[in-house]
Amino acid sequence: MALIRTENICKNFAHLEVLKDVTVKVEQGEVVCIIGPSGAGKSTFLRSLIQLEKITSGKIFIDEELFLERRDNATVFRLEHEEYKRLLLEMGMVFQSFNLFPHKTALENVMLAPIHAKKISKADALSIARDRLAEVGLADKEDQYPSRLSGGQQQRVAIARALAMEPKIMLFDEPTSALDPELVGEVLGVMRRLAESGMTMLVVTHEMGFAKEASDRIIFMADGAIAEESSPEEIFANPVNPRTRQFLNSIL
Amino acid sequence: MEQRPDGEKPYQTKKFRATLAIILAALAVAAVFAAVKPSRGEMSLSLSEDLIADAGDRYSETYSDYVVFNIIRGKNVKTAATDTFMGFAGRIYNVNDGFMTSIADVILWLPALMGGARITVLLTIAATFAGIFLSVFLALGKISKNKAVNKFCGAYIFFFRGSPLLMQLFFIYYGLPQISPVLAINNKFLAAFIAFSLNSGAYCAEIIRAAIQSIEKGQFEASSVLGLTYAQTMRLIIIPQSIRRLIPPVANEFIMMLKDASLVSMIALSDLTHVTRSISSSASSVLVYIPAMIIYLVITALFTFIFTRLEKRFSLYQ
Repeated sequence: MALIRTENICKNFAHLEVLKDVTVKVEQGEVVCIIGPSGAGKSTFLRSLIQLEKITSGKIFIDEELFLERRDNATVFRLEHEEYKRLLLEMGMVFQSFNLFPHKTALENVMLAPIHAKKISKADALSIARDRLAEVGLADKEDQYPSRLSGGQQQRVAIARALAMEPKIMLFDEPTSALDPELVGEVLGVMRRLAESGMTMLVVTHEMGFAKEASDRIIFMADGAIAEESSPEEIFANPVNPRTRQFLNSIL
Repeated sequence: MEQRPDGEKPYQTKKFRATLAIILAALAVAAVFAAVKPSRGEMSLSLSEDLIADAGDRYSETYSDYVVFNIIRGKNVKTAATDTFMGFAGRIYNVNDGFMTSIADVILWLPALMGGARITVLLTIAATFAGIFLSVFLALGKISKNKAVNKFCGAYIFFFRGSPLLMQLFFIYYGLPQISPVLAINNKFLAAFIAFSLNSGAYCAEIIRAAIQSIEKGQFEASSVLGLTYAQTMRLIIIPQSIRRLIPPVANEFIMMLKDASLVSMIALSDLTHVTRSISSSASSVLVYIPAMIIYLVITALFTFIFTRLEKRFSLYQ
């Protein structure tokens, strides 16, 4: 069953076409990496899925249920509020710049959304938050403010924070791009473990090693459209599209 | 959830404790000095008996709460003279020469000046608090995408920032009763409080709006993908982070307000400026302006100190 499916998503910023007919399907348990040159619309696509950007036209399905349909910059269909919120929360997101809440400790960052958005009890939220922090290897940092954590630790807290909402799919928007090279490994390690545990993941990344080893499928985007889509072995060994070949040559 | 990171809290540092100790000690010394003023009997004893005898039936003495003593001496009007003593901090001073007379005058005026300062400080604190409360709603309204709310808040801020505070004060105190007797505000302090709150609300609204809009967009995005509502995002994420950025401009606004509070002397509310002016005209002396201005400076310094502390307190997580 496809957890997320999009049909012909288009997105224009004024006269600039950022996304052109992007049709993507992510199955339950799949790890999909989106690669491509900067300005290809990878992040915009991810942000459109989780409603941080308004798409110009296209359809988004979550759990095979039509979630949103827009045409000519107007909403044609949108789920009712409760249902909309429920499906939106099936997606968790990790940002390039972490976006932790600086005035809350690591533990408070992870507990906040379960308490206020899911309305679960403080005690339950505390135990969930402690578990999630332990999973990302930061059990001993729970009382630290983000400013006292390294970039890698901050990003791991951000992953724990997203996981605490128990999403069905995790969206990663260049999670390691803002990190010092020596800190990239710890974040990728957490993501690998997450992938092995069966979490469905959609990852925008420049880490080709991670894309090659951890993903089930790779989507190559260029100029706002999907240029090529296949298994990691295929795409790294014999890329079909000349744009893919050019991109892979330039970074490998 | 009150756990804090390791390390000292700013309000527990040695420097802060030392400063606090000095302030408390100074207050204690002043209190002791004021308490141990000499009694009337003691001061009478310090007068020379020769002088009293010399004065004969023209002798009189006055003793005020402000510990000043007067004697009129001399056998006839031509040779009449005053001999003034002042008791302060347990000692008795002869204050017949010009300089000491001035000091005595200042001490004599102090209680009245302090009464005026009390009104000034109360008005400033009350109006700033009410203004901040009002301004949170105005700022959220000004950010709001709802056109009507947005326009209303914009117009409010434009009006109260764009017209003189003195005219707003006059309008509320003198103007409203003429529109309808129901609107009459007979209490001068209340009228001043309303005018100042409405005015500072407009100023603080712009400060708060700027502080909220200075929070990184990522904070709104993270809140949104975690399913927080707009109200929750504001209450839990944005406003707590804005507070530290708010403190310096709000402190500035507070100090401006403290000095603007002198405008209430125009509706004859006895604030520090009004008291100073009436002392100056009744004693026909401009000397009183010096202690009055020193009192303003002391109040400003005190609140600057408090705001600096507050800012450090809210910088904990940085």
